[in-house]
Amino acid sequence: MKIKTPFLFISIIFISFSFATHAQSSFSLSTGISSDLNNVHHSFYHIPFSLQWKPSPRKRAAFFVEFDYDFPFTTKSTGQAYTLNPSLPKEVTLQETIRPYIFSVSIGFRIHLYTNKRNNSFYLNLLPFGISTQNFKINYKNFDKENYEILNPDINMNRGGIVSSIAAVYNFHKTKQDMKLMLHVQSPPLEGTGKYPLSFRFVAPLQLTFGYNFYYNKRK
Amino acid sequence: MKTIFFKIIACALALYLSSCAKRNFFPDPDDPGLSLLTSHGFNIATAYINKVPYINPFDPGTLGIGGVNSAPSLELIGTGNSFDTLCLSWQFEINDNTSNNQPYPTISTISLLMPVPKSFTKTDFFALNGQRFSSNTNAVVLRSYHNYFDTLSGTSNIYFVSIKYDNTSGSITNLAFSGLFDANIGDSILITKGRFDFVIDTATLNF
Repeated sequence: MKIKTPFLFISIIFISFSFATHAQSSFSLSTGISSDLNNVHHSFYHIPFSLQWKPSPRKRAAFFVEFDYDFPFTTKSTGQAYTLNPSLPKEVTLQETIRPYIFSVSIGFRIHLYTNKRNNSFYLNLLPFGISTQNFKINYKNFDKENYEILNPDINMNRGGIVSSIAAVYNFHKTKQDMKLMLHVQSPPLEGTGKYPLSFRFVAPLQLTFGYNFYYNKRK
Repeated sequence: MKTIFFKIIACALALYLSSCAKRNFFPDPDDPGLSLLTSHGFNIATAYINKVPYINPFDPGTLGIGGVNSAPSLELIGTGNSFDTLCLSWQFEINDNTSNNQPYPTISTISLLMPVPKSFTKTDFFALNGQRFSSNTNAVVLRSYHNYFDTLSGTSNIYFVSIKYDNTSGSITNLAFSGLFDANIGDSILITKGRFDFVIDTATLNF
């Protein structure tokens, strides 16, 4: 899989530059809401910020770069802590908070699917290669570190790996198509979370975002 | 020339494999040198002895394959009194290299001793799950073989946080238990922040 990925990536770039139509270079900003498709015991929600840069003026199969930063909502869980101190309760339940910060940079190309009478258009964005870091911040509220030990605690984790993603994009707003609605799903990183068993897995964000396209470098 | 080449390859392979063996050790960021309290049968035990971190040793295995943490022993020791003694023992050494791959050193052992009825069975052991025992009933024994035979004893607190067993085949084969302990030996040796996570084949038990 690791060997095939660069070849796939090179092929995609080659294909993307083999098309030539009339359009504009652009970059776009979008934000919205994101949920997680990869965790069963926890529900991770984020506010995603997505920046896309399409340097190519081509309309079809145009190469682009996408940067995503997902700002997390706090997810709550619980942990059990125990003590040997006979003057203290032998077991307490702690409130755990988990905040997974996600940053991804991906490259891909877009496929034009449909344009309606109002010139609004549907695209399929394919991003077969990206790198994502996921930084999980764990905190146990009111944890007495001196007297108690948490059983199987979650620990901070900052790891990254290769990801792939796909998105459906609808560009609209009068003739300029300068607004966009995007449904974007990204795989979790291929990297494992390590030998230590955590209560969560890497996040696979499903983002619904709304944003604006900025066009430049118009070609005719 | 061909022989030398194969020897070099064999040495490189041996070095590579020996570097692969990694022990179960999950550093506790709040207690340097100690592993987190877990209940997954990792066969890991750590504690501070006079504020120095200790750990059960690691056997890297042959050519780095099959490396394991040293296992404990859990046995019932008969006495002439009305109670027998449940003895949980394991080897320990200073945890000065958490990246591991150290061979078994000439070692010391720590034993946690609890008085139990003479009719003590596996079922009674399962019933210890979630129970905390204070130092007025339990003992600890340290045995050292470094330079001379030495045995030190004191009192200990033990807390069996989790006891689980594998009953999938209809008979209990593996017994996983984890917990906390501390000890005081003559006020000069203090064992603190002790935690263990062991798994034992029930066929090795004598009760």
